[in-house]
Amino acid sequence: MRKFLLIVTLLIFSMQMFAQIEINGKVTTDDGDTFPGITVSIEGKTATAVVTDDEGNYSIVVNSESDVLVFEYVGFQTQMQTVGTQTVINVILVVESILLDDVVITALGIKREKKALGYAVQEISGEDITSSGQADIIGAMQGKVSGVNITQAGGAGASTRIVIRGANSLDPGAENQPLFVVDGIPISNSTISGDLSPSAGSNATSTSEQFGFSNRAMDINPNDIESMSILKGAAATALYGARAANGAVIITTKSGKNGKTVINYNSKITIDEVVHFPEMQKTWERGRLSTTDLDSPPVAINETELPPYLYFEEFGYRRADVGAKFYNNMEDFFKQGISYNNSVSVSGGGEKGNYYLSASSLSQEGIVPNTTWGRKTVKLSGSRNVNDKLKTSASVTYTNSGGIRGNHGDKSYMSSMLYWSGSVDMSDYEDENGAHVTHPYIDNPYYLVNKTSLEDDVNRVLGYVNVSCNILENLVLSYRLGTDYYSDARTYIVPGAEVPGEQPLDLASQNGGYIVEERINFMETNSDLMLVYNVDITDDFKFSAVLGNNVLDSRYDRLNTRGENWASPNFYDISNTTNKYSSNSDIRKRMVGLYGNFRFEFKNYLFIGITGRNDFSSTLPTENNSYFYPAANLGFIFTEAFDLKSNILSYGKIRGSWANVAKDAPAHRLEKLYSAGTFLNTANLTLDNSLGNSNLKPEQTTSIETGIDLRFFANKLGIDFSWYKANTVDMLFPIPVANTTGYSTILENIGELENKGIELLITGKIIRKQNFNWEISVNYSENKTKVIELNDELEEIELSNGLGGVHQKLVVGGYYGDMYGYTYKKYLNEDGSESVIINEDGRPTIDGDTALYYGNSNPDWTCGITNTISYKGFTLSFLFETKQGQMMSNEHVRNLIRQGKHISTEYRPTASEGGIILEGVNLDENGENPVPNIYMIERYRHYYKFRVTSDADEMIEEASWIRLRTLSLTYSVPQKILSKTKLITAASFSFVGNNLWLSTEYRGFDPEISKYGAGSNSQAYSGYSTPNTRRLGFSINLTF
Amino acid sequence: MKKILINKSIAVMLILLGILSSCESFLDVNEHPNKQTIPSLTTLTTSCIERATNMNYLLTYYANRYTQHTSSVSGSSTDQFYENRMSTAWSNLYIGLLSDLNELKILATEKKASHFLGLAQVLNAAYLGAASDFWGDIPYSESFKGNENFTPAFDTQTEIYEEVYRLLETGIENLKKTETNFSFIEENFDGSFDILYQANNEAWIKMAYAFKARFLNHWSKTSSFDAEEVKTAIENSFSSYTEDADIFYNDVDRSPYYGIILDNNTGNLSITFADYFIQILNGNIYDKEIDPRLAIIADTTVLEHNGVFTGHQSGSGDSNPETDLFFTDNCWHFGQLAANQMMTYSEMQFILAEVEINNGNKTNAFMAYERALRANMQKLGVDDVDIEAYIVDTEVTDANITIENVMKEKYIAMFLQYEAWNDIRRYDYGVGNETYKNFELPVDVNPELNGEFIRRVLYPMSEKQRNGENVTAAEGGNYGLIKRVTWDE
Repeated sequence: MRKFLLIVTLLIFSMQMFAQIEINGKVTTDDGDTFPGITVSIEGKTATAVVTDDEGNYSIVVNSESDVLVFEYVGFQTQMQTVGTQTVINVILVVESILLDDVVITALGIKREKKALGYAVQEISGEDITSSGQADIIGAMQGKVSGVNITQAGGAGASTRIVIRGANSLDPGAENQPLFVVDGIPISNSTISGDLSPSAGSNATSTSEQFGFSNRAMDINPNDIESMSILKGAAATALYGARAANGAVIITTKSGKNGKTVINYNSKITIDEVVHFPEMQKTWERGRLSTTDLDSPPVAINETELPPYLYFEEFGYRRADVGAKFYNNMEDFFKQGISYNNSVSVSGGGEKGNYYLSASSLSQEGIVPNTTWGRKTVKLSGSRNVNDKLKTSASVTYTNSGGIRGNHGDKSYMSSMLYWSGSVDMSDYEDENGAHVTHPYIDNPYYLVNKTSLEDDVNRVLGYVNVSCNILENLVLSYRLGTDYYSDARTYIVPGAEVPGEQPLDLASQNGGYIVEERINFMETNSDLMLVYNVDITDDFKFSAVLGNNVLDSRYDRLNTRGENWASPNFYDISNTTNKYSSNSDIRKRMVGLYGNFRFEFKNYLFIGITGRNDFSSTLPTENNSYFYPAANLGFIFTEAFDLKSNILSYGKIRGSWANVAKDAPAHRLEKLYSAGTFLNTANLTLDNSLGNSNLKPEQTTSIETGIDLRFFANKLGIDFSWYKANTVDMLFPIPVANTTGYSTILENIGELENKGIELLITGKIIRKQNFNWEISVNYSENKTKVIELNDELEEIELSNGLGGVHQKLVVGGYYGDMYGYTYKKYLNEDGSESVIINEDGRPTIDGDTALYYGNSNPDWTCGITNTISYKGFTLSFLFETKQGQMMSNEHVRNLIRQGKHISTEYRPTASEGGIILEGVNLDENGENPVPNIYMIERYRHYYKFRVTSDADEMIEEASWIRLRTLSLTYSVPQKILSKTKLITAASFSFVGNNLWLSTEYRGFDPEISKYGAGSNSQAYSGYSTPNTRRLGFSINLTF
Repeated sequence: MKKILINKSIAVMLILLGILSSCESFLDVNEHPNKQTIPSLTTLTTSCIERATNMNYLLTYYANRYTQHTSSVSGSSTDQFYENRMSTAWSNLYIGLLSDLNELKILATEKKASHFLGLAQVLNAAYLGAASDFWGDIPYSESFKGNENFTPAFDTQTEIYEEVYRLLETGIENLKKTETNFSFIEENFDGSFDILYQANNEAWIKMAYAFKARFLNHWSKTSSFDAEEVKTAIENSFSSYTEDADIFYNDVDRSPYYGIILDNNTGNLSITFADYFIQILNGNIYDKEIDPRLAIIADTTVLEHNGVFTGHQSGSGDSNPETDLFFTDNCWHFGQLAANQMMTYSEMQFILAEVEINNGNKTNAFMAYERALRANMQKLGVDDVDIEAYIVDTEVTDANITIENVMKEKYIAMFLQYEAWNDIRRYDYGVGNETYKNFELPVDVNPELNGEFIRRVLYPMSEKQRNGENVTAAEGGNYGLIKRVTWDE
């Protein structure tokens, strides 16, 4: 009996033991690291979860052999192991292949897994944008995205320009920037210069040269952004049609997440300062002397004796000899710019839907006195799951932005400052009566920025409603209606003489002062009706289709009123002007598109996509306003197909695409037009110089792209490489024709441009330990835009014109952005070398007949390297960026040379000291028999002012640079401390610095700032606009 | 069942059709909202007259520098007879004036509006001929054909002049017509569209004859010259200086000559009085009394200088504000409201005097000379007493009057008129004859011209680049600044 009970007890005991198996083991990463806190649980029974200790050991009790253990840890692939007969189970965790299963937003808001795409897409997260230190979304992309060229205009609120994979239109006025889409609604990113010139008194060729206006994408609050997808080639944008022939930036805004309400607060303060200035000579005073005069004893300069033209040129005596002080006027003029940016959001959601509400305020003071920019936004969006078949969502965003802009270009504070002599204190700009203290012919920059103002005030509303309905299990019908509306009110005031007898502003000298009131209204509505179908034909073979219809209505109008000649002083309203001018400019456009996209997926490793779109455009002739264009792309994950995965190569995919996209014509260009005006109070009508064309065709781009995406070492190293070639034909261009035809230009479809390039993205998780992480990301791109063909009559197309004869033109066989200029007449020596021909006055002459090639204003290659290092709660991130090979015309240094102010004009030996004898040759009267030059320069002024400033060798220089674009240090408060507050769920503090270090050979100001704003296709000139800054900022981010 | 299906299908098709057809009208928004496609006679006319006056200014701006009435104060090499293409004038002529005139002629022909057609023809002739006087052979017959002809061929000066005479004759005919649509004076037109002559047919006819006389006179050195034709034309032209073709400005649309003053004052130095002209006026060249017109033409109150006035020496570099007389808005020709003179009675009488002297008829010549002189001085506002004193001082009589006297007085009256350059070329700048006493080459003159005076301007670069073959053909051999135009040979 006792034995039986013992056996039964033992059996029961052992059965219980059998039902409660203790499993032990160690969890490590494939690097051999161990982490505490890795969750080990029994599948289906999460309550049983345990965590690993500091050495990675765990111990868990299971009930049966068939139980499955689940090993989970953030950043790693979840692993599952059946218990079986083992009691010791060791597991190695592999880094999660985030990028493989990554879902990106493609055209029309369609989400696709990145692995399924046959073309290159790059994503930037909202956090990358806000941590960049830049206030606008395009600036935030600098150095991070391959295949894009980003340039800036300077000044508070000034625009940033982005071109993806090169320009693809010949017309210098054409738009080459990509389409911007927010939550599926195309929005305007235009930079409108308007028309702010008076009837007389300004030499500016266009207003875009004169002010730094904002591009409209600056209205977006970066804190509202969840992610941005950059679609680069035609294959990616085929679904958007004509609008996206230049690529697309797809922006997705944040939405509420399921769970409790989240409140986020972000506050940032930044300070801007100019740190790179041109070097000026301090030795020489004002004047217009020659070397022979310099040999005589100096005559004290008495201001009242100086004729007006001597005021701002510095070809005089030595400062030391006449006791003249040097004022560092340029550096003293710029102050520190400061900006405050605050943003708060409340969001939440659940099964029924979600919501997101945010508000932000940015206010910025520029580095130029009396310049500002600000932006206030309010956004409310939400979605609701009406039932399990019907879902609705809507969003409204209101932005108010604007500021006070400084003058750039001709008659700006910059152009006056480049003239202003270092012998006169510029800050002394008003006398005791308030009258303008200045040189004749130019303004005092302080007076200018204090007296004139250009204010713009933009009110913008972006909104959409979206309804989607699961008609059938695999069929979804969705409809989206969205509108982008803004009004932009600009007021530009140029006072006349306010104090009797004072010298008025240069701009007012020929018209008595003026005011311009411009009112711009823009509204675009998009309607998209889509049918989406998904079906698994077999387990291995999936098919999905999108069919859609898009209707677009766009209207723009700009009303411009100008009053000139102030009647009474000091009252600046248009009613107080004597002469009034008025004009109106409208653009109307409508488009209807039908599109289809079909995708085939085979066994999760072969993906084929086919797109077709047909557009009907109002801007093309009615009998020929429809055009169709297809695209196809293929992705093949060969590591899956041929089972090549290994420890070294964990993923490999090749991709290729072919696409054809068409761009329609600008509106209202089909007919012969007359413009009305008045002259001597009588109405007149004149034939437009540019002849339209009733047979316009759309521009066509055909592009092919191939690429390879490889991951190594368990996804720790990724290499993504693309090569593309895009050819555009039938580009619309107003061909300059001989004036004797009666027209200056005739609009035709001509030519061919070819964009070719490569993009490389390398990402590496170098160190991944419990408390220490180091990641690196490198992007590299090259792009060249070649002019393959123009047309039979045209040999070249002028792209832009700068100072001193420097210009850009497009020639067959050349590249977009090529720069040309003139230099000295040279003599060809017997050995093939060239010598500059020097005349008897010691100076060379410019050969104004031969335009020489001087390189290209676009970079040969660009590269950005981001390192992110985190240790415990600290994250240090730094981005080095470089652009190499671009040429620029240095107009500000040129003008400093012209006035004898630049350091390069410092060496002025007197005649008795031997003067300057330039290197070159003298020729006889037949232009032969060269002998080394013996003539001394008689007047430095003539040499510098009239020769050097027309010499392209002097003006065009390489503008390559390397800079530390961003350096940021962020501290995230650890959970341990935060949980004590019971309120704050996340908190971080960061310091961000932009442009902390710059290395460039370019003389003077930072070459990144272009003379023209984002709306211009010419970025080859620098000077005349507000310089670039170094920025330091501090921000706090709190989440409740 | 079937019926419902058919009905459904029809319904769907109708809806689709409805959508497609409204699609067409939905997209019909491409008419330009701000510009017209249909012109009108009056507004085109105003524009043509405006452009003609501007053309007058652009041609005069350079021509008067070659005649040393004016000279550059910014060291411009134009005055030194270096390359000058006058591209602004060329483009204003073709894409501005002649192109609008072409539109006006087409519209007027279509509407059978003879008066408008005549006006257009007169203006057309006036400036087509003037352009040929500057550039020689120029395109015309193949121009204004849009994209049918991107490269118009050049017509010879002879062909251009034939067309000019034809246009003037037809223009006069059209202006005389009484049976026409849209005659000048009609209920709808108050004449204000005609900013030159307020829709006065007679005035336009006289102006046409005046241009005819001027153009005929250019051929004075050639065998085709017909003095009688010139005299007939002069008889039919202006009868007093009050009929001169002058445009007056207002303070919204200001005189382009006033613009020169603004440029000078803001550091964009332009031109001022040339020394030769001032020396004529202050009596130095002919050792006479100071011309009473000096104080009116030039603002002599600005500089003291013990009564000695000078202008800027042609070809010399920077200006010398201590001694150079500058334009101010007290000058008769340069105020904001100053007249832009296109054709004057004074010029007609000077031509008559020239023709009569060359015919040996000194009496008639002297009468014409006096009429011309008085007209000019009265127009400038000189007192009658001063006029008489001046005439006495010149010591010219109907017995001793010479071509030199005529051309000297004409030279003064032709201040700010490009015709002065045509005159001085006809007389070879005074070389080998008695006219233009002491007229010399400018300082630092272009050595490549070997001491010759300038005879034309060159074709613009835009034309060479876009119509190169025809330009090369037109240039012919020995092309350059000293190659004479046909009537100058």
